[in-house]
Amino acid sequence: MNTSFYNSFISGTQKGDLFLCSNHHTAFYVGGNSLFYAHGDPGTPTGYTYDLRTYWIDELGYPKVYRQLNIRND
Amino acid sequence: MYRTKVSFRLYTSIVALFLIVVAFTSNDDYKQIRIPLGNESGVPLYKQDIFYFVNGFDVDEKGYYYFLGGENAILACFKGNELVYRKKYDELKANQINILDDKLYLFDFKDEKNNLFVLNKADGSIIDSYKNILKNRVNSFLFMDTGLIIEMFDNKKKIDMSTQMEFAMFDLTGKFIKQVGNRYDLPKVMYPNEFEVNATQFIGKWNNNFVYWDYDIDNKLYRFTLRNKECKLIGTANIDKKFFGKPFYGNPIEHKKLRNGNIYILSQDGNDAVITVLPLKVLFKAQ
Repeated sequence: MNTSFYNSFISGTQKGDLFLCSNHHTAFYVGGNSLFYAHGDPGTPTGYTYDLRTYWIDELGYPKVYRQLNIRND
Repeated sequence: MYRTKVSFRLYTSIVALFLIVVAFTSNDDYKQIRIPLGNESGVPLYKQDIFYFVNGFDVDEKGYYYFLGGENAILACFKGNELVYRKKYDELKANQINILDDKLYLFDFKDEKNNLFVLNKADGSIIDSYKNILKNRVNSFLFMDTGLIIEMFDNKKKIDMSTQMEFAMFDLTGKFIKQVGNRYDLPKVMYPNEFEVNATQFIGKWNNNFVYWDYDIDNKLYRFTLRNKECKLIGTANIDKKFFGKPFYGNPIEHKKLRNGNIYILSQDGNDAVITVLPLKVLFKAQ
């Protein structure tokens, strides 16, 4: 699906980025529409969900993105 | 010149009027049922922070609505917005549900229990239970007409972001049937690469064709598509998301059910659950 603004956001992300959604929720981005996080529903195991576009961004806005940088000291 | 201007204005007015009539007509064709949310007498739910969870939703052949929710699981059955019965459980937690004939099926994967329950849909009593039907850690699952499809981790491997999921089908007595290729057990031709994996939802079959849902985030549209068995697009319908209300946590597949020739969408509007009924004949009319 061509979703221009969404696509431009996604094109700047990488697998392993940490998304902070509106101070409510933190998740690892794993590509496509997928996130990896601790689910908010009690008893539901930590795992993948497929609702980045269909829920998270739409309800809470575009997340702040944090990325680990590999800096070599030598 | 004046006459041309008048004719043009008249024409544009008629077109505008027609568009307004069409817009209102199309929304009027879709019935909405509102039921208050609440664990005493309404639609059972679990609240955390700003998030509302309703885990199970289904509709039977008479059009009765079934909801399963709450931290301590509560099943509630409604005819329209009138409560038929409600039942609390200690044996299970709120999860997705599936109605088939006079039974209601429930798979409880919370706390890694992996128990399959069969309930009498008339009163919610437990008829059968199949304990720990698989040892693997479950990521998600989906009831289909053909059985229960479980997305699971390979327990022998360390779980990280490169872990590939596996899909397995079980029958409704908890017996393993086979490995399947995707969460819907659809042939590759019906779930091609052009679909964003796990975002385009297969809702069900209608008149031997396949109905899908997706969300256009830039234009805030719910997009319904109808495809034939070669996956050729034969119908589309776009509806403004606002019409449905706010989705519950995760906007789950569970909240879009194809039953009785209709799509039933469960959403939220303030303190109410809202069920929107989309007759497929109307949704894909003249296509």
